[in-house]
Amino acid sequence: MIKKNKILVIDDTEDILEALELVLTNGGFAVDLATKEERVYEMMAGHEPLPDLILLDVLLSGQDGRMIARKLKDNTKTKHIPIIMMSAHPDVEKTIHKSGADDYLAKPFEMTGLFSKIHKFI
Amino acid sequence: MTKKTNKKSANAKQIEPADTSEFLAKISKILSASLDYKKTLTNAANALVPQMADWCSVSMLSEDDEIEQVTIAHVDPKKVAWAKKINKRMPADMSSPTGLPNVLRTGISELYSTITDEMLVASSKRKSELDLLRKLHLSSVMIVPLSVQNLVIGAISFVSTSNHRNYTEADLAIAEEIASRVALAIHNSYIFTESQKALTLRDEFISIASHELKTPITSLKMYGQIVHQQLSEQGIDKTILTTLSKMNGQIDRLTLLVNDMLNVSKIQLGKLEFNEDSFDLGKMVRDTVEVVQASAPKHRIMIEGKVSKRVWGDKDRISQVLINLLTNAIKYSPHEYKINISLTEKKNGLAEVKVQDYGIGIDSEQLGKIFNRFYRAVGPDEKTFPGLGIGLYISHEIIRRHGGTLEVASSKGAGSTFSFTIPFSKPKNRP
Repeated sequence: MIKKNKILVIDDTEDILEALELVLTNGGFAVDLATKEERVYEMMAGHEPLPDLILLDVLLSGQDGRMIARKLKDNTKTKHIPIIMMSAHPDVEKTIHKSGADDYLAKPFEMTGLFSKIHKFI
Repeated sequence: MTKKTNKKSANAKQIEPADTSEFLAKISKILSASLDYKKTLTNAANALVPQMADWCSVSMLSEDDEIEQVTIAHVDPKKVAWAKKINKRMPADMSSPTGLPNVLRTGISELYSTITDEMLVASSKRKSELDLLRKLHLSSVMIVPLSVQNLVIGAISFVSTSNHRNYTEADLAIAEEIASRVALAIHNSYIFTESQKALTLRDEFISIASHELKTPITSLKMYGQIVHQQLSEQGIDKTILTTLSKMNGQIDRLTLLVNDMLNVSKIQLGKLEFNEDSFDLGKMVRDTVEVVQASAPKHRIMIEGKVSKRVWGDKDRISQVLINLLTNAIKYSPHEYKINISLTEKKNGLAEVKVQDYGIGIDSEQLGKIFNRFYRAVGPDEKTFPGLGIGLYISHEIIRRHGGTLEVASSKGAGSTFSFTIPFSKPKNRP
């Protein structure tokens, strides 16, 4: 059996997480969901298996996704993981590059757009 | 000391009746110079000294009915700090039957042509206060209310420390006229400040609302696409798939409306951001047409001409302009399905994109208004078409900010041609 690539989705909106889980599972990926950055720290500490790609919301409740991306890219264990940031805020895109994230997707998006971004990396 | 003060006041020019209108005009000019009311009041108080008083102060009534001395001007600028100190040492008692508290309560001016020592004794609660009052060498006082729509919001106190000047009823009339102009200036400043606050609140609300609206739109769009994908895999009836595609198109339209709301608010604040670079105009036009054409199967969008040089600008924003023009062309051509786009390289360093439709057209009377905010076209049945009336306004601003122009040629019943230009290179003098 071929091992599925795993995508970690971090978003503070349950509806988005559920929809993305369905879309990504249908797309043939293993999916892991998180609403907070704590999961990232567990990954960095080696307590959690690493995903093959992370879909990360820019503005999480009380947390800035760009800071989380920066931490992931500054950590030797996680810096190789591709990060695609997502946001419903227009104009956020130009603030993404400093975070070290690999790509950006504006919400709402087409499934084809989502998959073409993912397939650039895995 | 008394002599010195009197000498200064005696030298000070007092208003003669002939100068009154000139003086009032000067005060009005000062009052209209700024919408910062504290600054305005300070400038006005300074202008009232020495012509109207040796000492002038403006006090405002807070929402808690507390008296706040906003500004004070003295004929001797060195004594301003001293005058403020006195005000702190002898704060006005709101229950006092005369003076500033009474004017603030009743809205009726008070005139004391001559201040006698008996008056000072009567208004002092303790000896230290009396000693202080005597040191002020008060000779005459006027206190006039600042009223807005019959509501007293403050008062101006005019104090003469000169034995040469005793205020009269004529002086009081001038003081009341000045007070009415000051009150109007305060009111205008208040309205301006409140409107600015309201605008900031509105824009914050729109920013939050647009984000909150897009969250359900995002999941709605994903669920719609999943259903579409699953049904098409099952080989379901094409009609259902077409309906789902239409739903997806409407979700995209909703997203555009939300973005437009945010954009119009940003334009108002001058915060619309551009991510500029050189790009292939022809490719952008083809890509945009592909997207728009997919959601308008009845209409046929044709592209003619080409621009071989790259243009300079924010590709996404220019695409947004073209989407707006094309969706308008579709919306206002309910029976004519042909839409032409033509691309030309102009000689003045600009590329031009024309979007021509053969729809209802625009009345010549309406042509001058269509780039205004909230303008909506009126159809042949005199009903307005759906929309927020901000798309062309945003497009016009985007093109203008790129150093180009967005123009229209149209006549009722004969379709419309919208054309915009964008530069080949970054303009030196950007608007």
